Amino acid sequence: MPLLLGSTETLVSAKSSRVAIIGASALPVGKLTSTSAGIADGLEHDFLAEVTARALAEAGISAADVGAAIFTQNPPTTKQLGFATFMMAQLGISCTGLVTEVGQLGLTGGVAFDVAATQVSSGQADFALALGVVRQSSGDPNVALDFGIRAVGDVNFQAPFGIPPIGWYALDCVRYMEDNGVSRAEIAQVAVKSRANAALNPLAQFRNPISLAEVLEQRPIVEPLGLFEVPSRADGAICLVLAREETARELGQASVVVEGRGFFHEGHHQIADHPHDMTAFPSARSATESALAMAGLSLKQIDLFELYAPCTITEILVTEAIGMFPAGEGHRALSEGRTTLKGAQPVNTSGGCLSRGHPPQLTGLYGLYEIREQLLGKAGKRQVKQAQHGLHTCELGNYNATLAHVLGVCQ
Amino acid sequence: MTLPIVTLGLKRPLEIEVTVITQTFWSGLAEGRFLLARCSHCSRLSFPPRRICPDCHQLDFTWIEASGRATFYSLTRIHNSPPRYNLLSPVSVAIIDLEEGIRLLTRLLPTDQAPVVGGPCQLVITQHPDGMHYAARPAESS
Repeated sequence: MPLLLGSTETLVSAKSSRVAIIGASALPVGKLTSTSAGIADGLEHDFLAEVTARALAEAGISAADVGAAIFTQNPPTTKQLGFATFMMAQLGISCTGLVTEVGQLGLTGGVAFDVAATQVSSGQADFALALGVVRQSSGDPNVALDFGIRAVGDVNFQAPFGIPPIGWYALDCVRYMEDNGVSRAEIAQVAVKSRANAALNPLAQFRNPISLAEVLEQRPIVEPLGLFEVPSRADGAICLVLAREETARELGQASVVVEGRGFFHEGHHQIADHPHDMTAFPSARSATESALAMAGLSLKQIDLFELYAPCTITEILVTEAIGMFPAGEGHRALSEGRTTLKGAQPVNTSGGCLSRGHPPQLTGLYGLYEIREQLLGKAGKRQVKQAQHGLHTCELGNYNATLAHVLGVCQ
Repeated sequence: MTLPIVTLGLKRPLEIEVTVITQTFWSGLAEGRFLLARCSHCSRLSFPPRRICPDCHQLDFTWIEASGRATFYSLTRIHNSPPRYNLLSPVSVAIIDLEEGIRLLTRLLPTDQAPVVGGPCQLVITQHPDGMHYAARPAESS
């Protein structure tokens, strides 16, 4: 190791620690288990084993190469506990890096990816997996709802009032409508756009196009939001394979690299006890700015956006928060078509939480998967032309914390 | 000044754990008083009561009594809560700003008057078979 590094060497050194996604596989979002004559076609570990084998095959590496496996935390409907260690036995993989489950609420998929990337960039593993499975649609819906209520509220002072995660976004929506003189219909256009994108995505949970009128006539779930303006219950299984950028090159794998990463927790849980603008999502702004700065890119250089947005209003608020549109004008950008597939700044080309589907612990991984598909030119009819850079966010609470990643094409 | 007490026939949906930090607050409810914790060092008000002041990390608090006068910041009705939460159906909640400068989420009680974002509301205490809690309802404009 030379004592003094020249500027060129420093640049090479910094660049060589970048992390690439060299393989991936995911099951369509929807209901995982089907049962025939009382016999289920698989449990969590079966579905995850299958996608992991496919992801390794796509990456062109073997199970013996894997040095770390970072699993998303399981939802409360999962019967099998100790899931990460149980799963390693199913996969027949031994590791010298880290094997663990990570995550917190909606951040979970992004955190699994982030920890796996750190395993690679720190040299603790040459190849790391970020993976997980959610199978909750076969279980009692009240188990997941009760978990959600206790996760997004103080159990003595908020949760007893029965507010689920999407209830907080409804509160955002009501306030946003009042502050900006915006109608529910203007916000609900997000659901129409999401479905149009999902219609072109083989992994999507809901693929039949819907009209604005159909969105507005659905039964209310968390007012003013109706059935199509909130996510449905969903299952999924996904595995991403990570390696150093130069390893990807040596393997000759078409890859995308992590160009930037940012995180921010604002120090509130849902709302602060002193008044503030709950629709401003400052964590999204800060994390995105950090990720763009690390990537050396401006927001205008981002070709597509996969933004964690369980409800219609959430997508509008996060696009405003990260600076795509002025506060109070995100809905206008939508009606002008700026965030559609053919728009200047496509948002949630996968169909997002509303239509691609929202297995909460995996949504971050599915979002990163979509950006990879787009950057590799594998997105078929929903392909964003000449996509070079994509921005991903995931969050928890009412966007109290955001984890942002910028992915780029591995040249 | 004591706050109105409204009787609700059902138990609180989650069992409340009273601690040395919060017992003064819960006892206050039983007396018709809604108490806010004020940091003895920097005067910051906190709700719910907590172990340390988030601004100065000191441990000592005194109590002040909220007037109950507040404003609706936002509100919603929830149609998918599990049955245990349905003391009133549908479940209605509001974020309210107390005139003392505290924001909180609470149950919204139905009245003849429609609640309005930015409009006045009244903090009330709710009495359940297993103890006290709190809620908000629209108030007459002052």
